[in-house]
Amino acid sequence: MPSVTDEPTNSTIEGKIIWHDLLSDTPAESKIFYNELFGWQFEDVALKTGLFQSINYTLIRHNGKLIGGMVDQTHLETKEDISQWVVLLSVKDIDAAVASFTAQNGTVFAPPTDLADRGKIAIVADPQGALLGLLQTKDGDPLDEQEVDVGGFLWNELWTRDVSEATKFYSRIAQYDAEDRIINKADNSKQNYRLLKTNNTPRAGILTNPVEDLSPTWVSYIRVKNAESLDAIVARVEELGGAILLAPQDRAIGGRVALIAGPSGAGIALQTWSGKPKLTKQ
Amino acid sequence: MLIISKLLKVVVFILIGFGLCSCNNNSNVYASVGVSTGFSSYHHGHRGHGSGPRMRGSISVGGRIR
Repeated sequence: MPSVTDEPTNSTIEGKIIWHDLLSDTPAESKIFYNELFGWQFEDVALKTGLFQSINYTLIRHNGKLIGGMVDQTHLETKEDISQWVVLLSVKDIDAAVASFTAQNGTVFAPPTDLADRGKIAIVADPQGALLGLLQTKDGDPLDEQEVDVGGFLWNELWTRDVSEATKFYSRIAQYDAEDRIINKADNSKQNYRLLKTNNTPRAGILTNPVEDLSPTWVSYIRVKNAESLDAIVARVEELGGAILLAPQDRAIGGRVALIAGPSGAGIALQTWSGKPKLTKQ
Repeated sequence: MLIISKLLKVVVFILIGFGLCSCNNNSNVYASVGVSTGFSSYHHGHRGHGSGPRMRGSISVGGRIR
């Protein structure tokens, strides 16, 4: 399995979400969907499966940069529909991280598994049921960018039932510092938004699950240039086989967001973002 | 004896082949996820809803902040 970076970085940024895998039962339609909406390019990887070469993993690039991968779910021996985006969290010691998941009543679906150049991966769920992957890279993690490209992954957020419990849980996996921001909503009410930070750099948000009938999950946001382009993207979702899960809406602190699903049902959020994200270098 | 020898070669060949099966294949780790969660669970229970927004809720406080 290829590395998550084109060139070795030899840097581990524990607690950073460094990769996104799309599990899709409609890989051909998914390629068209994301290419049309965000300009992503797809690069099939030939993998040895026994005596044969099989293509069931595809690298995703945006503006030439690696941003994720896609797994053809139809090749998996699973009866359940597991189509979704999976975030992969960087850890320095995957055995210790998995042990922490087990000790804290998390679920380990796949124990640490060696994926050659990629490093070691484990597939787990936190105690509230949110699925994610842990990755101990072999050649290092993608370095922090000063600016995320339009069409790239901008942010990751955990939608959960109990924010405090989730904070405690993940802070034992990586050395996160929690920071709360109070957001003034349009109806003059206030809502808390929790940031998980490492080395004073925001890595993810935690939010009480804001939608009905959805079990706890990690949600990734794609950067969109402005409100007009966000609305234009959402307008094309259904013709490309996707679904609008939450229509475009203004954010309480400015900007615009929407929640959509690709042809396989994997949900992903869109967010307008202008200017350079405020990042602290490692 | 010749037939047994050939059969043994075939068996060894197959075993080596299967030995390679579990190596370096990212998809194998996801096969272990035997339950629908998050959006996959929602999608499974809400297929065929037609067009238009399908969830109830708001993410006006969600997303990256500076």
